Amino acid sequence: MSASHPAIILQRLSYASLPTPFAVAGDDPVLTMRALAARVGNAAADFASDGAAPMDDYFIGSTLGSPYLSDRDSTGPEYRALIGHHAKRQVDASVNVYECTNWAFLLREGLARSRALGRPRRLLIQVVDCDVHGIEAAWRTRTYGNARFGILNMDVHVDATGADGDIAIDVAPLSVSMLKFGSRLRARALARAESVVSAPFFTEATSRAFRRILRDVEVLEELHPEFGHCFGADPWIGLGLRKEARGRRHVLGSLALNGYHAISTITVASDASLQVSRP
Amino acid sequence: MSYLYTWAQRLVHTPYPDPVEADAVLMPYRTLTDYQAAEAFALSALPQPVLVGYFQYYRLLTDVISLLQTSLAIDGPVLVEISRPLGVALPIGLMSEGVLVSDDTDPQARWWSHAGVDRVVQIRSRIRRDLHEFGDNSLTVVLHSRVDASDPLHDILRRAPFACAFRPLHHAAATTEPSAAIHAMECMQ
Repeated sequence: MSASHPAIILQRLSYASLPTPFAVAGDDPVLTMRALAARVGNAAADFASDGAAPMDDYFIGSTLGSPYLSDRDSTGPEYRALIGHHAKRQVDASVNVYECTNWAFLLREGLARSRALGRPRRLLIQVVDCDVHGIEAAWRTRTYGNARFGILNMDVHVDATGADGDIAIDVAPLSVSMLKFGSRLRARALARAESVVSAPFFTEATSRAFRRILRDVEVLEELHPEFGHCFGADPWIGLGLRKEARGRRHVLGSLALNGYHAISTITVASDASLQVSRP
Repeated sequence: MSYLYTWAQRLVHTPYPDPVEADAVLMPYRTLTDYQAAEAFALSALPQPVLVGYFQYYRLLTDVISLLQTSLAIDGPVLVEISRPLGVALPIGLMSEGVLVSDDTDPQARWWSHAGVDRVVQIRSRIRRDLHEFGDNSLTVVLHSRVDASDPLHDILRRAPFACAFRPLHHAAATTEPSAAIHAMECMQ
């Protein structure tokens, strides 16, 4: 017997870009790290102070990395502590190695916790990407074209007993990673009626090839010309800008530079709040 | 959780004898000022040598996790702490259900050790894979257990093929010996 309620429900989403670049070469990365931590923590505090029940877990995922943000022998502990200070709660997990697929691992962790305790959980997930060193390669990428830094905040309700909670995560050789990713997105969308795909933002030529793989399913608008590449936030931004998103099921996917991909089915609550600030 | 067991060792030579090409990937810099910006994490003066490339590093972590998963009934997660690698893909074993790689495993270990599961494994890697990385080449495995009244970790890990490349942390002083890799051949005798 299959469950009638969705396993993953997006209740609220907000996205705002950060100044890109956020620093220039020669700036003190410690000061930049502290400025970023304040923005991340304050965004979490603002987002979570809506009077509803407290979030069970606070997770952060990032693609761009620096020892100043993650390494315990550098200022990683200070970065996490500062975020916690501004957010008024400790960060429960921050992941960086999964690149743009980070949000899928955080959803999977939330579902595992729901399964362990036998009840639904409410997750605050942030996707944060910002280069703190002023390395131009971080926003003028060779693969994804121009990129934009930003902070995505999400309130996601997960219930391990719900339907469509399987999160597909895999890695493929780079030569076929896009084909494999696109084929799996398409198969997931075709398996369930009325599923709309929200995909990463690609440059024009890549987008054309990618959308050919998804030829017979509905895919949300290509937003690279307006947003550039926003790392793991891409499919969520697309979802957040869709006028008809509420109450609908979507297939979201991200593809990492190293060939990982992650695909998940997300149901948007009928009363969801979706706020994406256009750059 | 009632029991906490720790295996803390330092890698003192290359854990695998088969030759491997250096596989670090340079950041795709766009301008000369990118090099100036990247000086913020230039760390070539650290005392611990680089003894594994990324490929061997991931192989080592995967071997440790596989060994623990086949030797212990781990019903909680395997929590792995590594700092952000550059450019080399994670093996699928580190992406599988039940494994989470993060920047700091302590908050998760605390949560999971109170979640009613019998065993949670926490692995903290401080093994350097490139000259720009921090680390003292230590690898620490912590078992949070409600069911093991004696330490199962040391028996499991000391028999592993890679174990001869490690020394207990308090016996393995920091070394600057660049030729440590040659001892890898002894490892497999």
